[in-house]
Amino acid sequence: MVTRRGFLIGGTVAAGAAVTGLAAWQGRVAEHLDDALASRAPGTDTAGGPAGTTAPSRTILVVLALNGGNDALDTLVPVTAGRYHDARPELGRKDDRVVPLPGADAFGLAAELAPLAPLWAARRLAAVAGVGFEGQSRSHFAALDTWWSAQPGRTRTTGWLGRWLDEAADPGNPLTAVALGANAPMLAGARAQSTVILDPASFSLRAPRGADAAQLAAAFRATAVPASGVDLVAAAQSALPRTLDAVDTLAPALAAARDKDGGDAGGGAAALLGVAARLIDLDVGTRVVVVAADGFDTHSDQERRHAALLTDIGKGVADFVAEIDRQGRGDRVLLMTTSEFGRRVAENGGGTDHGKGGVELLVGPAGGALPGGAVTGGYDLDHLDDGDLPVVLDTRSVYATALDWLGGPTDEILGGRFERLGR
Amino acid sequence: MSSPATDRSRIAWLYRRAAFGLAPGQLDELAAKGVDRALDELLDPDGHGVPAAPDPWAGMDLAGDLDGQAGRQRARAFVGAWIVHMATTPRPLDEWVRWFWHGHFVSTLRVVKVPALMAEQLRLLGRLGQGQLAPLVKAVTIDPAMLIYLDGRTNRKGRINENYGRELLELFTLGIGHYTEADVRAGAEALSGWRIDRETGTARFVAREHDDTPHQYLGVDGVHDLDGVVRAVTAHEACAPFIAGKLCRAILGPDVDAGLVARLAGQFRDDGLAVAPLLRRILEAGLDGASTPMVWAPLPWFVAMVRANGLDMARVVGPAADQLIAAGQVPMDAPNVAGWPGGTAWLTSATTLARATLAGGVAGFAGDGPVVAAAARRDWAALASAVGRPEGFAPGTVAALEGIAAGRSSARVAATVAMAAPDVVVA
Repeated sequence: MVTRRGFLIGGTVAAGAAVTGLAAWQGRVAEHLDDALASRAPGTDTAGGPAGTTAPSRTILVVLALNGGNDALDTLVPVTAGRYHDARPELGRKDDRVVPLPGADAFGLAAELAPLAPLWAARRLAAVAGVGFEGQSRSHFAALDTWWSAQPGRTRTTGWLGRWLDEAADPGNPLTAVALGANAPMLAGARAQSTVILDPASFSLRAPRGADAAQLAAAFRATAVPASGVDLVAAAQSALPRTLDAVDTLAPALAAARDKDGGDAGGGAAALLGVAARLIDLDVGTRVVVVAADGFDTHSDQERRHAALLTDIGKGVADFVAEIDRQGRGDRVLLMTTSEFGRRVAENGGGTDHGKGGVELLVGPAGGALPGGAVTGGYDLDHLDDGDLPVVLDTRSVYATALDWLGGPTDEILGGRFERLGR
Repeated sequence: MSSPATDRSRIAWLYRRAAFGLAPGQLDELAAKGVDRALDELLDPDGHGVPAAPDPWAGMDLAGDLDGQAGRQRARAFVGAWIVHMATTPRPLDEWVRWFWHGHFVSTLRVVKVPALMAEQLRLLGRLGQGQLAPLVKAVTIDPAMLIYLDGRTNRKGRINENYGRELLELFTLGIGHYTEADVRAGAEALSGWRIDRETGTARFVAREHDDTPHQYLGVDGVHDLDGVVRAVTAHEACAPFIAGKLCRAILGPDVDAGLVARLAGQFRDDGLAVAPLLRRILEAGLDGASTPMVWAPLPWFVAMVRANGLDMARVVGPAADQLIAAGQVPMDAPNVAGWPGGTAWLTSATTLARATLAGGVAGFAGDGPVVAAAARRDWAALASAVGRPEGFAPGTVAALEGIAAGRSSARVAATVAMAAPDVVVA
């Protein structure tokens, strides 16, 4: 595996992380799982995170889910690689459609992401390339199951952030984790409940004409007891008070977002990121926000469609960071993108089919754990995996960095020790 | 065959799980006929003199783009016409089956963008959806809306696009684990060369864009074209369990007995993958007690509640549109090619809130209809029956209704709570 290092593109590639990530697949997981379990006495409260974790208190993680399989090569572009241009005669980006990334000369950022370039220069933007899971699937749904659960080969049980909620979060606060724009199975815990808001513009309980909304809400709450012996009915019962609590608390943030966006906050990812920023500003104990960005399954008409998607993301993330900075929370918020797979290296004539290795972008405070202004991992275009970018870095290395940021217990949640980014 | 009270529950189950609910008075009429007759009328409307169902979009201008404000109105009117049809068709089981297949062979108006083509796809699902699976799969594969939604029209020799070929195996016929990446590729090549004729809006085979190379596909040698692909997928041993399992879970709930599903899948295979007999067996099993608890999906639930209140859907569907979006289930707008996830995904805060708001909207429109009238009398048994739960409410729901102080608006509040009560949403 070490030989692969020489083939990775990029001057600042942290190939060490890739190598150790792969090593973890080859037998270290079980060993570290044993360690993790042994180090934690039964019943120990790990809410503060394991000893030695130095995450600042009340950190916040925002996950921007690029649903459909974001094309890594059209996001973090290997502009100097001949094989890339050979494989993408129509879709390949020349220098005029990328923004240079100082210190990572082999790459450019897609031009539509130009609003993020200042964050790169400030070492607040990191890129992770060739990321995925061993045996990375080309199926949306099999891949998503693995990315959401971070438990490859197992039938989906809980999400990687759901397990963090179970372990470390306040179970009484449904706003600890909020999904915006779509349901987010990565938040599914064994016990933890999160809040899903598909359309921020209509997240309120409206009573029938002439009826008293308070009376209606009280009656809905009353249906929750006594709890049914049928699990599914009991789940429906608990959903009502949980939802009404969330509505009461979130009303001001959603109203503010509506006012700013002219009543159209339900639009693309940029609008939802605006809602996320206001939600964070409410300061109601929210630690995790998952924002859905749809439409990345660009089998056809990719040049136009992907450019539009990246424009929305570039503006949305840049505005989000500016707003978080304005709030004085720039040192407490980490944003990361995810996507279930990258796309095939060779274009199919107008688009790209499902592939394997992907790219993730992370934005957070400079210094600390984030390898800002650098590409970790890389694109091994000389050793394609059945026409796809090979996975050179385990997604769980990114998750480990994010879980450390939240305060862990990281290794327990991931079932093993994965190399952190930038170390 | 059983007591009248039980018959009422069983008929309500039938119309909740495989139709779009009951209109006022309908439960009494059907109970008088008996469960067997009620089932037969649903399954064989021709044999019982039930009038033919009209086309949901009859007389509607389906031309024009969907851009801008006017386009959005056109899209809403088009989708709304189908929801109106669900509420008014004389053949609700046929419509439910079309709705089931729409959630299986997914296409979205957002991607297809041409209402006329979406309408043709839905007509196809209605026409072929209760016959054998092979003609249905074949027709869907070259259906113009599907050729757009999953990129079949850009799948050409030398520029193979795997999108449809993959989902055909993973989501439409076999399920993951029953095919290889080589099968995905081979299928995509065999299906290349299908375009949409701009003049007629129909599928057209263009031989020079078809990759005719024979491949081994799902273990079958020499597969090179549409017929070969359809034969191979429908002959595959995983196909019958995959389709029968999905239809079983859609009607009998997620926890349906695995042995029952296996038995029904075997009969489905022996029937040459004919859907109508499978449907009858599933419904008979459900009426005989094989049903398990299930979250009522927001759209069929909404249609049922509008019907229960005796409301005209054409008047309600427009004002409800925003809340159906918030609930997460608008026809022709599934979140992705896998359709609506269902199950506990319908218990999220988003759907819970939208459902409560939709119930309030329906109660507000309902005037003095049967649901609000029962609520005004504080007759909880009648109220439960009116919202499709003749066996009565759970204790928590009764306590909540009792706790609503009598007043000017208390009947509407009680009607709202009844429609979105946990034991109505999950039943």
